[in-house]
Amino acid sequence: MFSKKKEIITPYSVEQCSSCKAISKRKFKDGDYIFKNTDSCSSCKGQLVISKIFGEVS
Amino acid sequence: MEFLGINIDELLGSGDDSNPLMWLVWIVPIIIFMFYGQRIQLQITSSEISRSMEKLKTFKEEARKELIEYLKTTLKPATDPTPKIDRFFEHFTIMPVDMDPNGIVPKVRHIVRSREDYVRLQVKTLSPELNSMEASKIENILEAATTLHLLYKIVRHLFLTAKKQNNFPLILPLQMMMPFIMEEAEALKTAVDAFKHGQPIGDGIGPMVVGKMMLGTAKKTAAFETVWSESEYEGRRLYLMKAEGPAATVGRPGDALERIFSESKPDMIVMVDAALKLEGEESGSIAQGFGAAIGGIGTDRFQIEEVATKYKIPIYAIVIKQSIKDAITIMKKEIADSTEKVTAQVHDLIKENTKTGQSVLVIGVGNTLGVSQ
Repeated sequence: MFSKKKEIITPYSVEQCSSCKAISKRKFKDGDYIFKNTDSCSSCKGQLVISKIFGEVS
Repeated sequence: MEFLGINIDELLGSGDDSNPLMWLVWIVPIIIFMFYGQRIQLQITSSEISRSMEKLKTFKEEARKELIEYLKTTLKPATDPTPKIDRFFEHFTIMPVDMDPNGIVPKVRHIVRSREDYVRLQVKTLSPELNSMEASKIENILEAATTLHLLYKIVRHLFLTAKKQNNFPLILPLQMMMPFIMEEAEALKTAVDAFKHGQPIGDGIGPMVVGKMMLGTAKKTAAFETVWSESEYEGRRLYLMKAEGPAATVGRPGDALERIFSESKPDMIVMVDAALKLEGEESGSIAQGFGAAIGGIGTDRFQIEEVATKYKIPIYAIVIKQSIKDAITIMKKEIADSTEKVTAQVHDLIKENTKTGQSVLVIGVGNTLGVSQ
């Protein structure tokens, strides 16, 4: 009655462009941390910054 | 005798023509339960606790194995770190005498800091190339594995004592506590993975909110592994303080606050921290209150309260609710999504309680693993 299902948590990183504010979500990579400057934005060449890292049940 | 259409005499076999065997079927179990009921219950409870203990043992051993594997793969030490790690598991801390509580906080702080310094030093001896980020991750994994080891030893002690003395009442509190112990043990076991990969944990929501407010400002060291910076908000001066990320540390907010107060006198303190939710409450829900929102052994809270009382400064607290598992495992989406709402609430609090020209100290409390500034 109270049995729990085993949850598999997948970590994600959310990147936000500091110029056009576009948001993209991708799988977490080792070395990622919040507020880290990553690549340049594919649409406006602005700086992408990791705004969030979280785990979601997959 | 009839009751609801059922003949009780027939049911119990107590009629004149009743079978004596039927009497035995009823009476023998009653006698057995009268004399051996507690022992039977002890056996049933023991087998339940035994199963949980086996699980706890697996968690403890897996955490130890993961730590040793992590050390071997990332640090590639010249010698096997296993004996050193096993020695760590048996370390203990003796708290100061509390018969005369006057002045006990500095003593507790001294002992706890001595232990932290010793662990930090020992971890650094594992490899000469170890950087502070990796060292902090190892310290946190070591703490999780040590706590699991201790939990297992305490549960085993209580269980074996109750079994040895055939003492049923002694096993009852353990049976009641087991679900809570297992919940914490599962959280600690899962936490190891987040620490290994440097992922932000639920407890990092306070540093995340303040870290965002610190972006683009000049960061200065306020205390050991703690940074602060200055900013402006609607004519108010903001002093922002958090542990130095993205390392796995909570910093020393008590010392940092004293340092900031030696330079300036804020008119208000706002503390943002994670707090344990009650069952039924939503993870990531926000609550506002008064007083120093900070966990730990209590020494930092004492320091903050002392300074606030001395200068008669109000302390406001904003907490983000979460379970113990959410707090020490990778941050949940609901918690990460609360950042904007918490920031808006901090700003509202500042606008409502201060005037233009005044200053506010905002502290992001918690483990800043995976959260920069």
